[in-house]
Amino acid sequence: MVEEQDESKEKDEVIVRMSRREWEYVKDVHITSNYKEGFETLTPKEQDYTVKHLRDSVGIEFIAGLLFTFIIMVWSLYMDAPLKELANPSDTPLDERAPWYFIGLQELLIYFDPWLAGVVIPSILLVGLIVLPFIDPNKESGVGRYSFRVRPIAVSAFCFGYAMWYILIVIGQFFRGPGRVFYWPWEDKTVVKVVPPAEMVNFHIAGGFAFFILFFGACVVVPKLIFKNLYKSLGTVRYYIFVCLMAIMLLIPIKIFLRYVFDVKYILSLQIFNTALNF
Amino acid sequence: MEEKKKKDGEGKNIKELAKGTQVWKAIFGDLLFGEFKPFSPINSLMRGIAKIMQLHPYNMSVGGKRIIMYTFCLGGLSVFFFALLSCTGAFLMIYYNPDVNKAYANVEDFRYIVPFGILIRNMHRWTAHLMVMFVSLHMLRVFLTGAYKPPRELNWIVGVILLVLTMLSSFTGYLLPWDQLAYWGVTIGCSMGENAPLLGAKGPFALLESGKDVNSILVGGAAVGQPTLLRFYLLHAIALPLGITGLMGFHFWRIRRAGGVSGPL
Amino acid sequence: MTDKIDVKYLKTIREKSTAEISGSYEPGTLLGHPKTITRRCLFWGAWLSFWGLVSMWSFSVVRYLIPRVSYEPSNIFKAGKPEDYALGSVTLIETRKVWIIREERGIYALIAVCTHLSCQPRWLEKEQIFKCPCHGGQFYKNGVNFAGPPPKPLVRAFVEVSDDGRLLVDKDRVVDIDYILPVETG
Repeated sequence: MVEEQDESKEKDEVIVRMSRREWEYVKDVHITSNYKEGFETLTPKEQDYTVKHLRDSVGIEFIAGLLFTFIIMVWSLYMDAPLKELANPSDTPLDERAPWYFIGLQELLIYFDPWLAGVVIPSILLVGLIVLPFIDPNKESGVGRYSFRVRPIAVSAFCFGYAMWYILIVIGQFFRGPGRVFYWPWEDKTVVKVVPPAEMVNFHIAGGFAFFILFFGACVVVPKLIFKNLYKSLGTVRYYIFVCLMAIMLLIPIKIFLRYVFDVKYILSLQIFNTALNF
Repeated sequence: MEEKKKKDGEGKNIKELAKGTQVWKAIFGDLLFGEFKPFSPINSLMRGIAKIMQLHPYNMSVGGKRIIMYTFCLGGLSVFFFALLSCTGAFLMIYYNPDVNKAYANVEDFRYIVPFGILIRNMHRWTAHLMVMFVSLHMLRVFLTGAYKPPRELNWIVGVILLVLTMLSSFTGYLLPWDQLAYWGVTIGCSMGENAPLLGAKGPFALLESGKDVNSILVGGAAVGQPTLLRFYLLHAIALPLGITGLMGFHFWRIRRAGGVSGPL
Repeated sequence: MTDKIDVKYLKTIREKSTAEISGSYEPGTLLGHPKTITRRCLFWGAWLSFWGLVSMWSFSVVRYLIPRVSYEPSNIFKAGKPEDYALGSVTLIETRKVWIIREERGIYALIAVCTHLSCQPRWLEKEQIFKCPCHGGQFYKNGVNFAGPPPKPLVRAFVEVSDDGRLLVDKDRVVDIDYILPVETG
């Protein structure tokens, strides 16, 4: 399209000459830019900041794809995909594990009941991810660059959750041996470790309620006091959604800590209508 | 006819000669790259489609940065892996039967009998791992560069759904070799559904009885077995790839409408 | 009907409408009446029936996915004579996923599915416990959970001696934790 470029400095514009046919096409399709009859107008700044989509973006991605195809082929030649013995419904293997991206959830199963670890926590995670664009009050700044300073709370909150997910995966993948028992990397995972069952305790029911009320109360009040602008910029509804999501995220490491240090099985154990609700 | 064409062709170079042939016109003819005809209905239809789908080449604003250091090609590579998975998966389907008596033997055949079968299977497996990893890294990248902010909120949501579909795709593929790892991994995974509140048979406040809860939609019986294998196969080979493809198209279209990769401009 | 709508006419008709409808019925009067099918009424009717159809169809699809019959081994089966089981033994019937346990007081059957996440626990002869390899749940010989994540004891199935002297196990009939089928020793 671009045949020749003349800069007219008074107007701060670039004049791009094109054929009549190109102009007819551009005029109809490129509705987003400012055009004058017969000419495409872009400021020099805009010209510096644009790349050709097909050549500079998709092209590079395609080259990266070819590179990865090569890597995958070499990798596939040397490493075989795992295949164990034929499925046997009457024999559970000792070292059973989910695919690696679900191992984080499998780790949570050690600390929480299945309905929490397998259903409720992933659902809350998904809902949190979906509402994320709407609870971020910062609509303009920090777009298009990696910057911690412009939006420290958003970045640290997201990175905390993201890191926790991957830390759980690493622990589940590399630090768990037969029977989901903790193994240090230098210990032999083929030897079945016998761990004496610890005497686990539950919080008293009043203590459990008190813990949750205090915890959520603290989660609601403390950010207001520390980050003065947070409540103002978020607004009431978004603030409570944000704080609740963060509190639920924080509960996971807290429960792990309580389990390992104080042998707490459940913080709150309820019995409602013949159904056990254990948190 | 031929002679007349030759006569006309005298004095022209070979490119112009080639342009006159019917084959050239059939391939590069009016529909895509034809001469601009303002009143041709087909031409205006095609340009209308191109306008809506934004198919023409365009300049993308990236704030003067090198794009490879900005996106790290994570999204593009995810698409590339998806294409690679579709190819290798289609090849694997030729020799694979979703039958509990045959599946494991079929997968073993890839190693011992099918020429280069193990290569295709390995590529499929490792690419699947890479795709899950790259999709999640892509999400991190999008968050850190604030690319979910207006007008891209919907695209972020579509991206989250795509991440879930990618994981589900990988998870349903996990059962297909029908080995011990697959069987018990999926048994545990499906028991999660059984423990769902209200809708699962074993969960709190269960409304539905065992064998009729949400879990049995996936498993198709009391325990993981032949119905499960068939259901997972159909999900893995038809439903989820179709869903991913559709949502991916929408994802790209939204990116394109928003002016390409997010930038400060 | 003319093309133009006479609003005044419509209003008057509507005010009198009840009286008109309650009059003697002639075929076609209701159709010609302006109040019977208005455009808005048609719109909402179509919209409602569309969503009704969609919801009915989605319900049928969900129901379709839940099978009515599963081609699995029957849950009611015979498991040999009571004398076949030695005193203190724990026998796993692999195809049915059931343990038959013989104690001094009698025989009972435990379903070999962990109450945590449906793995199959293993019987450890030395420790005299069931242990689940998946998440380390542990049960006593009588099925009561004492360690690890399982929330409930192992499910105990109904056992009786059938007419031919063999044990009849019914996995669908869940019995209490202290149910034991008494067997005369001798």
